Amino acid sequence: MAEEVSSQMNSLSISETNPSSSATISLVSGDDIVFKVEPTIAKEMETVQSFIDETDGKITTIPLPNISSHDLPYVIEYCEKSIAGKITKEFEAEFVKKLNNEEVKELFLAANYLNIKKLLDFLSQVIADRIANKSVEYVRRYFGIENDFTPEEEAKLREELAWTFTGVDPDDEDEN
Amino acid sequence: MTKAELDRISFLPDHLIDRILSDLPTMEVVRTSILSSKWKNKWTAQPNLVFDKQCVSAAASQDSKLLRIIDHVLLVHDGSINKFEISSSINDLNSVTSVDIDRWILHLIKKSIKVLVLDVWIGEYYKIPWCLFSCQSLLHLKLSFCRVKPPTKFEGFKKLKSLELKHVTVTQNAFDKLINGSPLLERLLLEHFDGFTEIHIDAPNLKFIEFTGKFEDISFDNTPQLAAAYFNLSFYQNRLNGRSNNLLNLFDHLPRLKSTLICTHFLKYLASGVVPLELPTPCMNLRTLYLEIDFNDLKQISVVLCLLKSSPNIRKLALSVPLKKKNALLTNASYCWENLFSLPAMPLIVRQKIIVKPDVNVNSILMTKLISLRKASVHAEVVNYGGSDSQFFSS
Repeated sequence: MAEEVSSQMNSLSISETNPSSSATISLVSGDDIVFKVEPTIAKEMETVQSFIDETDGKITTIPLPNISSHDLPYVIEYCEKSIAGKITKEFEAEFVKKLNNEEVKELFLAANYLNIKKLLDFLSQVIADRIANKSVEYVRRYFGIENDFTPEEEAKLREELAWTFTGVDPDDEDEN
Repeated sequence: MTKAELDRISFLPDHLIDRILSDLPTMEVVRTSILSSKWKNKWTAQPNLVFDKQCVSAAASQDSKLLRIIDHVLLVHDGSINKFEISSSINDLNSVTSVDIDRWILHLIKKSIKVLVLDVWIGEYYKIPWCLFSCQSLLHLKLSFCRVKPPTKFEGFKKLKSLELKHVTVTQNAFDKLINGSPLLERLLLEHFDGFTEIHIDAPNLKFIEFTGKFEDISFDNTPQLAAAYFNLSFYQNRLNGRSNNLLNLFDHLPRLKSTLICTHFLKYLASGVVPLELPTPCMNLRTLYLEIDFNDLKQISVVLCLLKSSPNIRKLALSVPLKKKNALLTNASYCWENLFSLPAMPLIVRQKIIVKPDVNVNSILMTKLISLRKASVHAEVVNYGGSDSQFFSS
């Protein structure tokens, strides 16, 4: 992985001849797909912006090895809406409707890597909503947690925590 | 979930898990201790403890164990507590007494609590313990069904930014100290209060204020930042010994006001005394104006006219007729609207919307008159408005 990044960095130096501040920024996904975005979009991504700042704007192609070409368009779409001041409840509802649990988690990781505070806050709430009132088994699967309690230990805990189970899905009704 | 999906589950790092947990109600967070031994104590580091209505009634339904549960959570919790909230419905807190809440508050103060929400009914108003008044870490304080009687040496909350008091009893002296002694206060919400009748606001950082209830006099002294003020006075009795120029006094001290709601009783308050044709200093920043008008009261109409003439930048104007006046007959006073909006030299230009909120039984002639307000401006749109007041201010 490290080699791949450094080879990309070498090829970047060619584009250093264009330091104009209005130049588009090229974001390169982990699977080597280039996404051209306006500099204002890059500003939303703190990690990208600090990279640009560190090189005085000379480097406009940014490798993002941790983010796939599947996730990056979603991130860009959210940033575009954010800049336009058009993040509404309706937009957010539509935005997450398209995403399955796994994609939400991947975008959450991407938002964390790029340091986009609004997207992080939003996705954190989305995940919280998706696991709220879900059965213990469901949440274990969601986070990939291995249950290491003995049946006796778990039964005892369930009894102690009985009050927290009000309104929670039963264990067998959580497929999907 | 298919086997394939299970295999490519991405593991979230701990700090992101903590972030998700911070968005969950405490009941959900505590339940995660059953996930695995690694998770068993993860919740104890969560800085926000929120016992919302759902959580409290769930806990209360378990043989009145609420008291034991909150005690347990506070005892086992490890680290600092940023937020503590209890919101209960009536009857859920049967087993909880003021002594218990006193104990929790004492504990929270030691944990440098920043956000405290107490919305509890324990059969009577809960008397806030004196120790809370020395808690200088508070940023947000929201109290309902409480008696607020601080010790005499109380000087305010130096860091407090937001204060919400609903159904509270506060003495005049305590209220003055609360407001004037909390210099960073940005947001103040008062709903159904008693114990004080004079509202004197000296708050250099205040941006938002909302009153619902009864008061005799209100004055703003040092409020250069105030942008939104909603006055829902529930009753006003004109007092001859009151201030003689309420309207002038009020707007003189609100230079940055952008959005305001004035109910009919507050109009009555503003109308007592001298009402000029125009304010000496126009409200240049006022964009959104919501007025509840008694069309049979000439004095109220004159206040409204003065306000409209003095507000050249209104973008949203809403007019509402109070419910009690449903049988109101159209008086001559109502006709001044037509004059105001149809004169070529009309001072008011509404750029976006005039909203007419019809009441079920509102006099139809009056409605026709209001609808004719379309003339106000080519850009103005008159709509029949059925939504709630809060929608109006947010749209």
